[in-house]
Amino acid sequence: MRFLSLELENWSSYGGSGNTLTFAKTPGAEITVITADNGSGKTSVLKAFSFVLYGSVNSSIVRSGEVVKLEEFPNRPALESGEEITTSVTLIFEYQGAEWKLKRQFTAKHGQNQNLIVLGAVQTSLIQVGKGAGISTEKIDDFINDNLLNQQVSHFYFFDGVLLEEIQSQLTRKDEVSRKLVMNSVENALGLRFLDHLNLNLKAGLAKVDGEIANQQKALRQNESLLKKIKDDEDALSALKADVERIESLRIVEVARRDEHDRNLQAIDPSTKGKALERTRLLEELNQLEKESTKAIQDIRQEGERAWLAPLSSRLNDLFASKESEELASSAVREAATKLKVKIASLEASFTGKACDLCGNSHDANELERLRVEIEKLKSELSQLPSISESDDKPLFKVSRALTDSKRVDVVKQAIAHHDGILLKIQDANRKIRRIGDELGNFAENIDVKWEETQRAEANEKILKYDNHISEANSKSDLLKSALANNKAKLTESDGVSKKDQDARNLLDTICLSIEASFERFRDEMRAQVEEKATEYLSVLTSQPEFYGSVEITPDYQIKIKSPQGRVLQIANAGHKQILTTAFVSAMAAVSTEKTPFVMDTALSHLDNPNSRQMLQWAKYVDQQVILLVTSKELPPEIAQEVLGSSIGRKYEVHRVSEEVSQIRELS
Amino acid sequence: MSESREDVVFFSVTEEHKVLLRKLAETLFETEAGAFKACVSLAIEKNLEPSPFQKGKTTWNATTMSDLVEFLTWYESTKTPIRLANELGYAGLNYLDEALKRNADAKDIFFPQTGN
Repeated sequence: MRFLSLELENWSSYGGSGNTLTFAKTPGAEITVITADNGSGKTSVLKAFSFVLYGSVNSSIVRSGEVVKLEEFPNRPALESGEEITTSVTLIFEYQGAEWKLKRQFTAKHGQNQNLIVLGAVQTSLIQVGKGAGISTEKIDDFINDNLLNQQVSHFYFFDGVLLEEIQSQLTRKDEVSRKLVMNSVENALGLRFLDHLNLNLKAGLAKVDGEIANQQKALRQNESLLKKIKDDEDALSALKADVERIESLRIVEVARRDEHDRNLQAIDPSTKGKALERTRLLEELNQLEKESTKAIQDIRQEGERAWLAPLSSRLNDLFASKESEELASSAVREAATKLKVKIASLEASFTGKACDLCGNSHDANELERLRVEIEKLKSELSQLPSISESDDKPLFKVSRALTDSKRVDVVKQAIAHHDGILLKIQDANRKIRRIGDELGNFAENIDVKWEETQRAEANEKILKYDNHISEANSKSDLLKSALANNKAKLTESDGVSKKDQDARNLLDTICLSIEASFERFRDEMRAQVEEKATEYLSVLTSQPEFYGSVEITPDYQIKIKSPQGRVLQIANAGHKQILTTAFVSAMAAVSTEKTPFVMDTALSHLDNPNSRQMLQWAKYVDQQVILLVTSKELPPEIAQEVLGSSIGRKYEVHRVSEEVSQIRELS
Repeated sequence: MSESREDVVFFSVTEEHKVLLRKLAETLFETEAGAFKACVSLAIEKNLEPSPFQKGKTTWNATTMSDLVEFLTWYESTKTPIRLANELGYAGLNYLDEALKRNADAKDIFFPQTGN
């Protein structure tokens, strides 16, 4: 990748449009030097690279406390009008022989209290110049990170002096995060990330093929399920068919039976039929009479059982009548005697009352005599009354009940009379039946019209029932046939996982396994390449080549410098760290599959003169695009000319017109 | 009569009478016991002479026939009602048997309709 130009519109102190830096790209003269005083806008250029590539103005290494906001970058003088302004950075670069235009822009305006507000999201576009073909917005960031420069290692390429010190520190630290960053940067530079990415893509492809295979397997399973349903339905259909056949055979039997009875009935002439029906009716009546007879006998027996004294009923009735009249006579005598006794007692009381209380003699003799005669007369009458015999000759309870029941003889007789009536009816019915039988002759024995009709009706009923059954079975059959047709239509033509998909899967699987298996080997080989290049650059960069032997990157990505004797050197000196960093960075640049330009902002400010010169030597030595943002103090023009000479392809000077306005001027 | 003798315990009928009782129990009475009691009544009604007690197949005990026993005790003023019942029953059954043999109808004998 080569940067061709960077255009800034309303970016920081670069107001308006047309603030363009065109970068040197001629092999051997790929260094672009941009000189500006402190505060003139060098760092804004470095941030512009970060913004346009990653949409962020912060480095991948955020130094402690330094979080820069996008709101700081819209050009303030342009905002003075109060209108919304568009801020954009456009980078035109060359990648794999084609020119690409990457642009990010956003709108901003003054808010209340003069603060700046970014309106809406940052808009990004990436198109191939001249062809108009672009990368869709959502894939731009992936494209940049995967193909151009991963943001995680961008600090190795875009850095200022302070960040360079961070990198130096990071390279010599032994913590996991630092080693991971080193590893990422090496792998990214060497294209291993591409392999990783390729592997991921292959796995995605593999997943897709697996998905397709799964779909085919699912279809197969659905087919299996459908086939089972089809089989079940076919079985059910067969069962229904067998059932219908069975019922139809039964129906045939019943139809024959109905027809036979129908023929029998038709064969009987109306007169015979009438007699036969009368005979049947009489037989039914006879049957009913016999039931009534049985019931009547039951009644007779029940009443007869209770009336066992019935033969004596007449005699017992006379006995009871006699006893009753005796009782009545006795009662009359008892009443007369009582009356006489009362009267005698009353007269005797009167007689006593007439006697003198002192002498006992009556003072009225006539009256006393009359009372005496009267009493004597009454006593004579009382003695002449018939005597009464008091009998306790009363029947016991059970006898009383039997005697009472004997009076039910009339009920028994009624029951017998009723039964006799029934018997007469039975005789009559039998006589009639015999007469009809005689009229019908022998034929009568074989004719039972009602039975024929009943048989015909039963056969008809069964035929109707079978017809319904067959009709229902046929309806079910139709439904099953419809379901069968539907299910058969649902069966997909696929009869297995396609060979093509299976082959693709096997191939992808093999490739993935192969990549995974060789990844570690690649990593080791590439690490060895970085070590080799870093050792080479170290010898170039150091003013004491005899002091350093080699650079070693351990398998867990610790970077060590060894003496020529192989002893690990402890690096405490800032200059030494700078040399190691530069050697490492340039080694990566050298072995990178895709060359990435270096953008260095005041990278020399912390270096002493010899080391500054060494750094410049390095810029020349890496043989790739280097954009140096320097102060005139940091890199005096004469030094630049002396050290870099014809390696400088382009020179710019940024002039600070006012506090917030910078202008770019290309120097010849 | 049998006043001087002790009373018996069971009611017995001959096999022949048993058959007759069974027939009566199928037409006029619910049970053979009921038919036997009716035969005793018939014997009294017809003033039949009690036939000498003939021990046959034991059929009923006194408890089963307690109403008949009580009746005879009261009506005939007897102290051997069971013996008397056996004798009267035998006489009644004989009478009935003879009547039936003359084609009489049992129901007319036991329950004669009015006017007969």
